[in-house]
Amino acid sequence: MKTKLKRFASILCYIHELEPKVLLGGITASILEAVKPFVAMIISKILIEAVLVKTDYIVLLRQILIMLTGYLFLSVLGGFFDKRNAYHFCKFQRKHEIRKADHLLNIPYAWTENDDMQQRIAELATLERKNVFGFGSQNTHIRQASGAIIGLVLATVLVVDIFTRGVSLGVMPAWVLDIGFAVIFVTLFSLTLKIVAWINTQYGKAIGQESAPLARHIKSYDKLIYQYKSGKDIRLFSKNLAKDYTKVYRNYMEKMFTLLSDLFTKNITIETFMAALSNGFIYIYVAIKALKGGIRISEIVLFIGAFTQLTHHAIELIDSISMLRSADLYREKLLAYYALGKGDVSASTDRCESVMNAGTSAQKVRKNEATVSDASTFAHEIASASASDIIGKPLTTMVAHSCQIIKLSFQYPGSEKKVLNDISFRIRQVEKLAIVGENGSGKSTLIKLLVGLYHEYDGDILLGDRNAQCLPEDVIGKFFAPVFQDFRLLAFTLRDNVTCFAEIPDAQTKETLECVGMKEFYDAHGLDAFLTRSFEGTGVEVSGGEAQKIAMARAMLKGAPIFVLDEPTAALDPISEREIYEKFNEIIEGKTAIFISHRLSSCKFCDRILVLDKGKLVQIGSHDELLQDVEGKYSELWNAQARHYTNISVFEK
Amino acid sequence: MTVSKTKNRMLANIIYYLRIWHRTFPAGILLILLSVPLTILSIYYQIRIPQLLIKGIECGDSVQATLLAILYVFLIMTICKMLMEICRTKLMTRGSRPMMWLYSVPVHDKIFSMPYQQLISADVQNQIVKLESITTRGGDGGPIHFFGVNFSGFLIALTGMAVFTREIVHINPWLLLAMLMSTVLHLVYGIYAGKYTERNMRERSDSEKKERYIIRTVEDRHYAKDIRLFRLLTHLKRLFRVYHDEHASYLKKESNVQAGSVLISALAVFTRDVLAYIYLTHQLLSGILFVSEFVYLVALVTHFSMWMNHIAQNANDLIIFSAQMKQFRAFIEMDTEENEGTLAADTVSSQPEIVFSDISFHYPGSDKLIFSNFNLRIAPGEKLALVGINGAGKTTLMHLLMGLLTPSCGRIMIDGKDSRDFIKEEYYRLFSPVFQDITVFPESIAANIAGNDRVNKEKLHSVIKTAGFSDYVHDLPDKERTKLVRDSADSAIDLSGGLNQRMLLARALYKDAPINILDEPTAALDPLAESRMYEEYDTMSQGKTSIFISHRLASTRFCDRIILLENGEILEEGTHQELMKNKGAYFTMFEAQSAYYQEDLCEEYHFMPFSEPLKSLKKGGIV
Repeated sequence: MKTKLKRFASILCYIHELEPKVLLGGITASILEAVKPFVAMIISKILIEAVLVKTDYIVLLRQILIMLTGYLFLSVLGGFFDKRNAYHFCKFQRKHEIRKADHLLNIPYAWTENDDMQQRIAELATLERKNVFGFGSQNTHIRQASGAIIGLVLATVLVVDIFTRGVSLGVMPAWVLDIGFAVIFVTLFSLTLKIVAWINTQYGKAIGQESAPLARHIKSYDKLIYQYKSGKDIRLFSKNLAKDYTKVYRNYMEKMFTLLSDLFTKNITIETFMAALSNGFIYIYVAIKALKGGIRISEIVLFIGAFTQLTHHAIELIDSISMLRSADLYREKLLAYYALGKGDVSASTDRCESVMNAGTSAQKVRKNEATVSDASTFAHEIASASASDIIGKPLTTMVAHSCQIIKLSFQYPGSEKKVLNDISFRIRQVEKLAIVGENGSGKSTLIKLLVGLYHEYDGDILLGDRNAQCLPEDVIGKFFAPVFQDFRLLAFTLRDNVTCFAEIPDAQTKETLECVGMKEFYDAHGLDAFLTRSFEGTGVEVSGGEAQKIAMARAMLKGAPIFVLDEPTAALDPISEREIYEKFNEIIEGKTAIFISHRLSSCKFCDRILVLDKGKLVQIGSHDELLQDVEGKYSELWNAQARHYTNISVFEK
Repeated sequence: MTVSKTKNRMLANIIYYLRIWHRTFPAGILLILLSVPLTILSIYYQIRIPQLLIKGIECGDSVQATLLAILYVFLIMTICKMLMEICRTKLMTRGSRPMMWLYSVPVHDKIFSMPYQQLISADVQNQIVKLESITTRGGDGGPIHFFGVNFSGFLIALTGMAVFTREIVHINPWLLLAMLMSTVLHLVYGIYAGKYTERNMRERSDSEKKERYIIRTVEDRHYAKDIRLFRLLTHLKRLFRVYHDEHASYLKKESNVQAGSVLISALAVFTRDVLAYIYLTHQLLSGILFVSEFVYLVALVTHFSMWMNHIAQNANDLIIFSAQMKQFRAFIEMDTEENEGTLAADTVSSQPEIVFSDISFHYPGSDKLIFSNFNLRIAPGEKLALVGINGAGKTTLMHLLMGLLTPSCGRIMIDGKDSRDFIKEEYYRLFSPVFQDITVFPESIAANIAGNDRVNKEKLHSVIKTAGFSDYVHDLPDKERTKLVRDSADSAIDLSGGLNQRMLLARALYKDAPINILDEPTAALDPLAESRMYEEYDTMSQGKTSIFISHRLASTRFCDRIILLENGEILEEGTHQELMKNKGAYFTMFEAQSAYYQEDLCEEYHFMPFSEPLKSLKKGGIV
């Protein structure tokens, strides 16, 4: 129970942190709203009282006017806060969404691809869209609870009075009526509340356990259907699949709403019945008291009203508390999500230490690190220093030394299969290194490890003379300028995409774009053109080839010492491809380049080639050296491709 | 003038939606109608109870008589109330059924069957984005979801007013007039607020779209690598704040306008109360009214003006509902060219002849002619290669052929029959395309390949083998029943680029249509897989007419004829040898690509005939 309360408090703090005015505004609105009915009741009491006491008409009117003005004030203020609450809530929701997304980018990359993580994200998204769990629902119930508490207090204050009015019932003593009624009322009422709470809990459970897989299936399909590109496939191939999906969608929605309907109906029926029963007893009680002269006529409406408010607010309070309790499921998942991956920061310090304390590679590093006295100090120094400290100082010295991969082995977290197996090689400065191999041989994985996206591996990666295990992810990233196979551009301006928002003079940007062959494009559209229409409606569509060139330019302008290019010309036509190859030296200019390509022709101007086969490094050497091994993998790959390009007439039919 | 126009549209949209109710949830209409008398009765009896009690005291009736009278009224009220609550709940929850039907059946149907050319136009895309925000985001769908409850509330208010007007007038006609005027004021403001909201929604939709784009980009794990490596996160967050604040300022204005509506409504209530109390109090003090009647009338006035408020409120909700329904109807009832074709796929031979006759084409909304008087004949069973630089029009030409796009002029003839003479669905059956972009459905591998849940196992295994990934599928725990699209289910996976391409190839093979169209099918394949593909290509295109688009000019070697396309025109045409002899554009392109390979081709490969598979050349067999 305590943990649940703690969680609730944490979430309240979270809401307040993102958008401070949400909670306060909402609660104020609900409290003001709760007070209003009491004003109306008091007015009627004053009026009827005035008749009996024969108050002066003008005096009476003045009193009424004051009360009505008070009522007006409550309405206006309450309404204002209510609308503002909706506004702030809207803001809160967006901030919440970006905060969730931000978290994933602040923890180590390995979590991004982690199945468990993806499932959590999907779960959170599903729960958020449902009643009960989402923040919208929680906001409503917090407000409801606050209003209910105030209303309850006010009603009780008023109601207590009636019990003090004694009446004579002939045979029975007066207190029998009071106690009797109180007992019946309380019993009936607590029964109602218990049932309501129970139903709400059932409802919360049912919704929470509901077929989340089906919800994800539907979300994926919706994403697909609303993209026009899928229209081709649907028309030419899969119309039946799409039609079946419509049925699935409707069935799912039907099931969900039927479930809701049944539970809600049960809830409401019981609530109404019990409330009616309570009301019946209230009417009898008040009637007896009134008929026997215990209370004045003017107070009848007041007491009936107060009792009604009492039952109403008590039910609302239980309703909102039980709903808020059910929502704990979501709060738990959200807090767990935010806690994930944070632990990795300290874990990396441990790893660094263990690396420092282990074998030869560590010793090599230690030898070069004259300033470090002991392993843990070094580790902590790295962990606490900012990226600029590390990079600014010895960058040139780091680059002067090479990159070294020592006995690298890797499998994806949760998988047994070794994607990379005992790989060792060295990358010299200003070297052009090609990595080739069949699909699935581990090329892209090797790249991901190199640029620092994964850090749980066996073996060592040395950047300069620093072991990568001891460098934070963003520091490692500074060494590399990548063009990934599945790279993504943003829908912002050409300039912003290529410069990545850095302060780079336009002249330099234009020069870089010209280098990769995009001069025509920026002549036609300019650097301020938005790419694609996803962000800006007047954006320009870019073809696959143009996108690749832009990604190349982006990598060039990053200013990192090592290029990492994964299939950078796959979408380019032969002329564009040749342009890139010819300008390659210009593009790379004094930097190191690692190059993955299926187009083996590009290997010819690389200094050395790495050949991977099923995760193992099988060959390494220059193009000429490797071709000499006729039985080797490289030879096999080369010839498979080259034989289609010769001019020998034997190939003609 | 505008008010009545809104009303007409609103009425039409209400009727339209009620028809959908009738179709999917007929009981709902009954519930709406029932809720009216039930609600009115329960309210009426509820306000009678204090009146009866006070009357009993005034007239000095016996305790039992009064109590009995109260109890009797109480029972009726309770029954009515309970039934009313049940109606309301059912309306609220099951009222989603018509909404779900509306969101899916007609909308999906339209998306799946409208002409592709229309689908990709900016106008239709915008409509779809708007629909998507209503259906999938859920947040803005309130008015449609609560239509049942709102509409019943509207009817209740109307009926209540009609029934009790006489009594109110009886009090004082001026009171009724005052209440009416304040309600009219409220309604007018409501319409203004509604229109303002609609306009504001349009204006802020731009900021909203930008805000959402940033959220989606940061969320999308496919962007994660680039965001991290290029340190884009801080900038994305900064931009988010900019557009978030921009969007928020619009929302704030809306909130202010809505608060204005609250103010007006509160003032209206104030006015009504002041007038009512002044008058009734006077009557009470002068002894004209009994206290019991006073109590009853005060309560009645309160409910009466509450109903008036409800009319204004519900009218507003119905306006928003009508606006959203308008969007749906605009899309669903959109004019899509009905094709009047009658021919079926089997009227075409197994190796059709294809003729492009005087084709001209430009994208809708653009003046630029992609093709102008384009002519081409493809012989039956011919293997044609289509090459050219990016943007030459190769993919567009194929889309025209497949019937996804419609030429502005000219005809496409299959076996001498005009493509327009075919039933659209039948025409699509003629083609087995492998598209350049990859679309994977969140279904099993088998279903993706077959395009269907019902799968011919033999055929499936055979095409998986030909496409070259049967080993991979065999190694999967669920084999071909493995689900794809990682986020869609627990055990679903994403295939790599190369495997995806092979799956799409398998899909085309499974369909086994008379015309093959392969658009860059080897871009992500490694040299061995690529080479294998070319070998299989011969087998795959036997007995069919095939068109092969590729940058990799190597692939053109095994085609009968090569067409070099540039700016929508056939620049060069002929066999590989003819074009090489020509020393024109094709020659330049081929040289550009093959230059690096020429020198080092291994001696023994030089004299191998093309069709000989690599298998025999390498020890240990092919992978």
